[in-house]
Amino acid sequence: MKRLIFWAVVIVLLAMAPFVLRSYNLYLLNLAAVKIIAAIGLALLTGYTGQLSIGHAGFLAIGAYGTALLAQHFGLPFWVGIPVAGLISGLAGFILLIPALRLTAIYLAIATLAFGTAVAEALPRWAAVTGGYQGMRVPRASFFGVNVQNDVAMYYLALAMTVLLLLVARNIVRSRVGRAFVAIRDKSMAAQACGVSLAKYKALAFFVSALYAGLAGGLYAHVVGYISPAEFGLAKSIDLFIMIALGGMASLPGPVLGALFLTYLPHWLSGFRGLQSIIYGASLIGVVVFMPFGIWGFVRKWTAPDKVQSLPKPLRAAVAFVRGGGGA
Amino acid sequence: MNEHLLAASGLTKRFGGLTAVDGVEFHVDEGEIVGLIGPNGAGKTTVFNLISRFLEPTAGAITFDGVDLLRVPPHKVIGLGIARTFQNLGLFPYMTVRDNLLVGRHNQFHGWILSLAVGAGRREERAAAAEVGKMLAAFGLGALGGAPASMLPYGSQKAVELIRALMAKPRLVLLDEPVAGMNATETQTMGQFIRRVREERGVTVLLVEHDMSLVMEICDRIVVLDFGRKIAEGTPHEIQTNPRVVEAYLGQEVDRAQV
Repeated sequence: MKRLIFWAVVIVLLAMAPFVLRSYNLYLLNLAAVKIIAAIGLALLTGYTGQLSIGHAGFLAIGAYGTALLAQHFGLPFWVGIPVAGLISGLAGFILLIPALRLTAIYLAIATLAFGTAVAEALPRWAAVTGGYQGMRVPRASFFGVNVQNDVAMYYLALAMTVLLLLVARNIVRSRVGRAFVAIRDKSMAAQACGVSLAKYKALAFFVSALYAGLAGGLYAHVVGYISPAEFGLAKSIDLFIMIALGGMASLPGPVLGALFLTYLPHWLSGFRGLQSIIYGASLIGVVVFMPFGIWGFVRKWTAPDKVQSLPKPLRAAVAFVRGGGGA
Repeated sequence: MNEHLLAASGLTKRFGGLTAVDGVEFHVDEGEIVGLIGPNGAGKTTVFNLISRFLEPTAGAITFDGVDLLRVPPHKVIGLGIARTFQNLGLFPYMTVRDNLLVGRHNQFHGWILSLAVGAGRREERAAAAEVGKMLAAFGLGALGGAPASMLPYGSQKAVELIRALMAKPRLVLLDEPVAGMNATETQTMGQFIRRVREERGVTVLLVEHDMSLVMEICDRIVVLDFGRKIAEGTPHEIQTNPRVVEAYLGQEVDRAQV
């Protein structure tokens, strides 16, 4: 009951934000929502199922361009276009199932990197459809004829999508599906002996994860109104990975905190001209070194110390990888 | 042939030039506790992995209750009624004991992914949780449900893994070294535990074990492997006095007069 009241208060406060915040702050929150949704999707795949992906920007791109193109060519309204593009992205997630059934850990990460790079390279070259390097304008969002292409309307869309997708993720994680994900991550042979089909649940993990990234991409397209290939490169994939590693990847609050952190930190640092990237880098290192289980793990250490465990082995490798190779 | 619950014939597995299992023939009848023993490298775990379908045999056949096991993928073996434990613990260390057991009855959940996503299936979850609680209580581990599996003492982890294997209501459990690394008291407890599983739940047991005191005490029948071949089969008493078994374990006696 206490919990319910807490969340009700949080939702009401969030719903009132447009009355107090300036447009720019709403825009920042909208960007944060995009990152939160994509990070939750990645956490389901990497944190829960143990399948490393550093190509998730590819799915963001499919969702964003999909939404824009569906609106442009078929006149689909945003509330149809975003889900359809998300679904297309989810189906594209099955592409990664091919390497995922043969490769694990860092080798799978390389295959996902290849996917992300392929999408990022294809976008500018397929200029007839995507507008090439210049990118493309996203048709204005309208709701039954009413123009809703503004930060306030987009804020409510972003809020609704975030809350809904968080709830869905929570339901998945708490069901037999979520347990099957973790079982595959921790001991795939024992998981099979318990009746968990690796092919089926890995497929499901990739589908759901790519669906989330695609939905995030669709939201992004409408939030910014203009998309170009440069925004969906390797850096974006690594950013997403850093978000879940920072926040705590085998949890749902983790990716939310990580996404907020990575949205607001650069923003707060914009005042420190010249020192910006140094402080940014230092704070990333600080979090990774002093909060090895992510921000959420750190919070839990104080609030529920008996429930904190060390980081699952496959994820330790992932964090080591991020520390070593993806600091940029 | 069909009266055997589990039957292997001509079972062979080669890894490159190494023949790990070589034409092994054995069976397990309903209600038995059968021990599979042999020195290190005899091929016991390979046999388990062949039955679990993690390995494809080079030759031979395995049937379970008349069904050709070799047509079944690994994740469907449990659906036929064969559960197993692992030599180096197959528990999911970062899950609670309760969740581990829930994975053990994975096949008995019916909720569809879309309905799970919208939060249906809670009633099923509650019923499952109650079942898990009952099972833990039955084996005196009721207090451990919420603990992360990796935080339990080793002996309890082994016990939880066996309970997890029972969650699917199997007809046969394969136990890979259930008392490895345990002291004498823990071994005794586990021995009683395995007996209870057979007596109270009618579950047939096939176990690989190095601890001869346990094997001799609880097994009805023993199959001995050495270098991938079956060298003996019989009751504990017959095995203890079988010269070939003694030779496999202790080496051949050298006649000093001939040296």
